Amino acid sequence: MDAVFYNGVSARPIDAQVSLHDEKQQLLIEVDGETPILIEFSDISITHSEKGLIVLSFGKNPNRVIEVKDESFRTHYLKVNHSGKKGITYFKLLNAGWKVHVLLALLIIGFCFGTYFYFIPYIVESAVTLLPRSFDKKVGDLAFEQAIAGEEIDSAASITMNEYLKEMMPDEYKNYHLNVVKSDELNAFALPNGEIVIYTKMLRHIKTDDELSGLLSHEISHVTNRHSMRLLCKSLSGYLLLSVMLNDVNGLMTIILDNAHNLQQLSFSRHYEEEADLSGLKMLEHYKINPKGMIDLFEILQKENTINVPGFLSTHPVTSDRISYIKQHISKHPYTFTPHPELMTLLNKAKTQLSK
Amino acid sequence: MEIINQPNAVGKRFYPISFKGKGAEYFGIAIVNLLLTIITLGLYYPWAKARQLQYLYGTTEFNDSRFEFHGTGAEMFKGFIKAILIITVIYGLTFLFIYMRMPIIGILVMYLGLFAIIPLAIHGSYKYRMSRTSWRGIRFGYRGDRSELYKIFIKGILLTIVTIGIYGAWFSMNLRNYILGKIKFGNAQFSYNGDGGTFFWMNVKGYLLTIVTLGIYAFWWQKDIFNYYIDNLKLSHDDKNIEFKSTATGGDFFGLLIVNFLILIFTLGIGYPWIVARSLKFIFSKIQVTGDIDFNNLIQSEENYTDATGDDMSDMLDIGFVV
Repeated sequence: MDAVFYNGVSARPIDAQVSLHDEKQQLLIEVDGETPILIEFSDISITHSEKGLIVLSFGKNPNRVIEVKDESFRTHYLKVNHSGKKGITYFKLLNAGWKVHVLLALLIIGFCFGTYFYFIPYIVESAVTLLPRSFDKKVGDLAFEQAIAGEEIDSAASITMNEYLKEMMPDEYKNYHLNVVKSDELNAFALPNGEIVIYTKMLRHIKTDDELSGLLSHEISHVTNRHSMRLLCKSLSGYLLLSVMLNDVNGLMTIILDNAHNLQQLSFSRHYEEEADLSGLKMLEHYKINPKGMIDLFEILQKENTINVPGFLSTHPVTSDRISYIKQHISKHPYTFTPHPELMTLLNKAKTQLSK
Repeated sequence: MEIINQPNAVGKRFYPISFKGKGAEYFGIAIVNLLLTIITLGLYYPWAKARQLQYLYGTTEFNDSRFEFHGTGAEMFKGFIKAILIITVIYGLTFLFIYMRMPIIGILVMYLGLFAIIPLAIHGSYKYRMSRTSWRGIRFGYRGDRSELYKIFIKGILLTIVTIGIYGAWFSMNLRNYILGKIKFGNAQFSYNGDGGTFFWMNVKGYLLTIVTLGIYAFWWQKDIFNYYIDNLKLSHDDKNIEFKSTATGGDFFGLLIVNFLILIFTLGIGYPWIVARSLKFIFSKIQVTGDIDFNNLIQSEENYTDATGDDMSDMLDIGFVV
């Protein structure tokens, strides 16, 4: 087979003949008037290979090059050459054709999307543990300012409701503060600083102290589980990833504070809601409050849901699924509860203060 | 081809140069490399780079022969590890000082460290790349001196700071003149003859006209820079020379860059290998090589050099290969 040989000393092309010894895995190069060169396949590297051309080189010093412009030689060489097994997977993939390559590209894109939308938020969410609890208060204060701006607080009812809270959970009431806000929206929410907002319409819909205790235990659980903080981190994951990687807690805090006003626009996932329900139930058990109040509350809200979709339900969707797992939990964890007439009295007092 | 390849009356001839790679082929290489790099959590990267360079060199043809890239993944992996260590030490010191509540010293260490390794990276990178590049078995080589490069660098940076950036044009030309002037192709010698003043005014003109034309002149500015880089390059062998000339126009650059941009946007970045292939095709199709060197007389003169640390550092610091 005709080939062009470069001897590694000069760039002058030398006409040569090459032949392959398949069994011995050797290449023979013959040049007129010179001793033939016999070289093992394993000592040859393929410098370039494309349709109709293969460039082989061997030797470090001098580095000799052989160029063969023949497709049948090239395919034959690639087929019989058993050396360089290291690169086999690579060449298999490389020669798999454009369909496989496009598929691989799509896979990689899918992987990147998956990383961006699931893995990174997951990592960033766990960054919350890096943040001190005192930081929740800062974020909550900012969000609270935003939330009550332009709202009218019913101060008399609020005072009564805080007495209710003190009576309901004497161990922990100091960390929380209730605000009754005049509104026709059926809503209640808690902020990371422990500020809890109940709209007047919600208070009117509540019939028993057990229902109210159920609602409060649920909202407080959102705070103790730092749901708002986790959600904020998740929604800002793109920005936060870098701070988490660099362990830059200050940077993390700055970004979160800048976005605290967005807190109310975020809605909790079903997972967070379930977590809040279940830790709420534990809280009720601790204070020996009838857990059925929580079910009653959700049934009232569910009824309301068929008429219109008010705030609380859009962020706290009540599904039959949700009611059933609460029922299940209650039947699995029975405990004795005591009536709390003083709570009922306070609830009624607050309600009468409202109608004024 | 046969006809233009013959020497003309004055003994000058044209040397064809072209890029024969295809976007689809390069895409295959890039995708397979990306996959293996992801699977190995990045460790495959040096091998991927070697494969990519091998393809790009192997599909570039000068005077009917392909370039050859002899660098291996293993060499680059060693360089990769060393480069990571060096950069980690610099960042480690920075964080140590910040941790010890000496942030200013920390930042200073980082900047000084990075500045100190840039010439090192450029030097090593040229030395490695040139030694691993050959044509018809004849290696290229870089014979620059590290301390000379440092001198140019320190002087350049200081004067650029003092002149609020103006000296940058001279700095850039000094670097180019020095580095390209130290490149050998066998026993032939490259040289570059750039002038800071010309380059400065060219950029002032480009900058101002780009603003006035709301950005449209940017393509012509780009053409001016490209042509200046090509037209001042020369290769000498004994008393014979070849000269390089760019035939690119602003319109050519406009077409190239607009289409590149559209490919990038509409393929969400997957079309990047096509952009590389068509840009290289464009660049080599616009370079005219004429002269009287007989490449048959070219002789091997450059040593092997297999330390890829500088090349990998340049890669990490994202320093373009041709300064």
